[in-house]
Amino acid sequence: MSLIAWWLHADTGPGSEPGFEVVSAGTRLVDGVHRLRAHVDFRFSDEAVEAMENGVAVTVSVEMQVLEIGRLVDRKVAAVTARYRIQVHALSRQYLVKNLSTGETATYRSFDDMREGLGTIDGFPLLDDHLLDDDESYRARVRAILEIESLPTPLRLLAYLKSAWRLSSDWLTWPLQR
Amino acid sequence: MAPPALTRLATGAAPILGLGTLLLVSLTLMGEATQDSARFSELYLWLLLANAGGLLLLCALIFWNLVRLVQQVRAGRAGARLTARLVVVFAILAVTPVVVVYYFSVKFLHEGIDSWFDVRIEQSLEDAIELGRTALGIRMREHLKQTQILASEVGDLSGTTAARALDDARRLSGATEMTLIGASGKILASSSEEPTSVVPNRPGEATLLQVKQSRSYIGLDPIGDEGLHIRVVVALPSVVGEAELRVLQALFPVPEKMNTLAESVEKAYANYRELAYLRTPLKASFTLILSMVLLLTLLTALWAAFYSARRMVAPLRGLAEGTRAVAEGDLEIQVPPTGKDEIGFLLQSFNDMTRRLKRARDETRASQREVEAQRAYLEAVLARLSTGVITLDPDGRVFTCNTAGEVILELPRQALAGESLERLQQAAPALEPFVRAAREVIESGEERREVAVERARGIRILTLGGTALPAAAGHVLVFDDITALVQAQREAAWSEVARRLAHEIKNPLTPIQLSAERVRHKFLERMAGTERESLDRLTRTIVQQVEAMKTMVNAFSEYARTPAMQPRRLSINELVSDVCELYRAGPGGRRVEIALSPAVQRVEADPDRLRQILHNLIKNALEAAPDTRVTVSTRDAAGDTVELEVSDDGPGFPPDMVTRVFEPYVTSKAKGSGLGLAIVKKIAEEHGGGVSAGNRDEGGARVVVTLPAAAARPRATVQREAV
Repeated sequence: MSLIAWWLHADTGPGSEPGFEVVSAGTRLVDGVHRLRAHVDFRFSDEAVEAMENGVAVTVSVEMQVLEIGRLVDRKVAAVTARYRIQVHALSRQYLVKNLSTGETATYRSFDDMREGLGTIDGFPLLDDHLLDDDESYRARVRAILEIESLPTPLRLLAYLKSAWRLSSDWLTWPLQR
Repeated sequence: MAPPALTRLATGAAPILGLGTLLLVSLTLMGEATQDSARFSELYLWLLLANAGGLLLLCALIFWNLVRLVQQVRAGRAGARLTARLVVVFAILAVTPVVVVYYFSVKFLHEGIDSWFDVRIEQSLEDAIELGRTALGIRMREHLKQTQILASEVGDLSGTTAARALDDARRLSGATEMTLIGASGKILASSSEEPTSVVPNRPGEATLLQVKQSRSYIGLDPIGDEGLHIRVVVALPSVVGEAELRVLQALFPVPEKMNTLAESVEKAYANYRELAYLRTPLKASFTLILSMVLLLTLLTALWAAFYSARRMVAPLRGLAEGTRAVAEGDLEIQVPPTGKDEIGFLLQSFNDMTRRLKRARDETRASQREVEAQRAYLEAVLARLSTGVITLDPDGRVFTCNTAGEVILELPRQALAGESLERLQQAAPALEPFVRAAREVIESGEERREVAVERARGIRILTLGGTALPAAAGHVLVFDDITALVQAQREAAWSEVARRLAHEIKNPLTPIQLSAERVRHKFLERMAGTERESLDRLTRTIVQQVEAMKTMVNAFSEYARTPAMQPRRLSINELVSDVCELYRAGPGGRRVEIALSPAVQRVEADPDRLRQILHNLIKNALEAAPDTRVTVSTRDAAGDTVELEVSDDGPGFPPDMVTRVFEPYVTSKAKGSGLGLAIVKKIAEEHGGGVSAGNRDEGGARVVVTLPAAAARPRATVQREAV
């Protein structure tokens, strides 16, 4: 039996200020695997967009965790990070988004297409349900971060100092339904 | 005070050199990381923080050194100012060239990075990219036409037929993959050059959206590791019964040569754009590293300035402290030797000098101690002498005076020290005979002289002698107070006179008196008239004068007599009360008053002799003048003595007699024998006491007899006090 659970956590609507925001996230159990479905609003700052347009590869990571709810402190059961490298292909005038975990590359004709494609996560395998204890309760959370450490070294110092480069979302947490 | 470990850390060479080396290595790694070295790029942040922390630590150490130096300068520590001056000089010498080098380095760095970029190169790359696009554009349009034709052919097909048609079309067109996509993105048929490819490459949502709007899409897509591909997506003619759009996608490979060239151009262009974009941050990073190197150099130079200055000044500071210690009298100081250079030689010489000084000082001190010991011995001997000894320096000033000299001259030693004989005479005019005699003795070198000087205790008879000291060191005067000896001789002479008088005169007096009485008795009755009166007057005169002579002789006899003492413990108050009561009971008794101290100590004395003292004193006082009031008082006095005072309100002693009232035959009364006070003095001295006489400030005479208390030892000497 396939249990499907989907919770849409729509916080406030996507803002216009630079920053990442997990707009909605949830899991569904498909063939004994919890798969993530989330929508992340990647609002890059002008500095980041300018860097990308000038050929600088920008890496963002989406961190996903499953926590066992404890009385005092939650215990991390699983942690998965999906990393994506965004680069502009000058010859074809397209945005290339490479999944650094799988090596797959997606191409987008515009910046908005790239944001939309990057921000849509559907069916990402998060955790095998057999690894979870039936007697325990769990919750999952997800957030997105721009990796400053992956920027070219000369740009890194600037990125540490300027808030325009410190792009990350808060954790969006929800109970893991089984 | 800073802990020793912190002091070693801040001032020692090894910690700072280690820290500097680590910082240098760290900065080198940072430089490598900035150049995108894969090895150190990940450590960039940590290297940056480590360097910043190290520099801060270095700053703190130098600040600590600076604060310490300022404190030392303010405290006036030896060598601190020289250290500060050297630090400033070293710092200026080190900092100035480094700053100049830094300025030009930054300038050249910026100019060097800017020189990487050239407008022509940039334009060439732009043109190359555009050329590639154009070249590929022609091919892309051809593939579009080709695909549109194929789409019209396979538009009505479906299922296996469509797949076969796609396969034929792919072979004919040279495409690597052809896919027929139906409604909702469902793949209806696909043909791939790669037989292992199961999942065909899908067009994106945006591509499909564009096809919906414009019926076709053509683009250049880099596909995985297979390089550039021309993606052509065209809408198929509408099929009856199917409302949704069907599309045909064909992927055409770009020829390998063109692909390689295009990728190369793309990569070069991207790198150039990236580098151009990173120009400013790159400058900032290099400038940062250069600044940190500058800072490291400056701080290391500053620390080296502190270290070198301290090392250079350390022996000089030791020398300064040593000199100060020597100036303060510490000759034990030894400065640690530093080396075999000139400063080391200087320190060695200083140490030799202090050793020699110490040896000389020790020898001098030993000599001084010996001299002091001899001096103390001499002083002890002189202090115990009853003879006064005064030494005069070559200028005739008093150099030393022993205790006996002070007592005899009745001048404190402080008043004598350093004074010339003339000044001494001016200070005490009564010493004029003494000074004159001393001068004569010094000038003539004659034998001892006898002089009489008037002091508070009366006329003192002194014998004075003197001699010159060896090596023209001055003179020494030796003098004795022989007043007591002279008085004793005088008293002994008087006693002998009295005894002879008593013996020679008293014996014929009785026969004279008896003879006169017999003549009177035998011839008075036989005579008459004038002869009878004459005989009567003459015989009576003889008898009376003989009686008077007897009385005088008895007094002399009493003075000369030295009966055995029979002392016992007695209350002087009771004795005084008994004696005074006799006078109070008689005529004029109310003129004798007593004022006795109730707690006066008992005395060990012969009561009969004490009674005689009291009788003599009270009688003397009552006879001083008519209606004289006499007061007898007792009290405890210093030195475990008891004082008996008899005072009156009469005319007092004549001033010229005050000092001689206790000598025999010295009296101010017409009828007195002049022996009363002499006997008093003699009895008092027989009891180990003394007697003094003087006039009261309010008028009248006062005689004080001092007797030792019963518990006290009898005095060996006679105390005489002028009141």
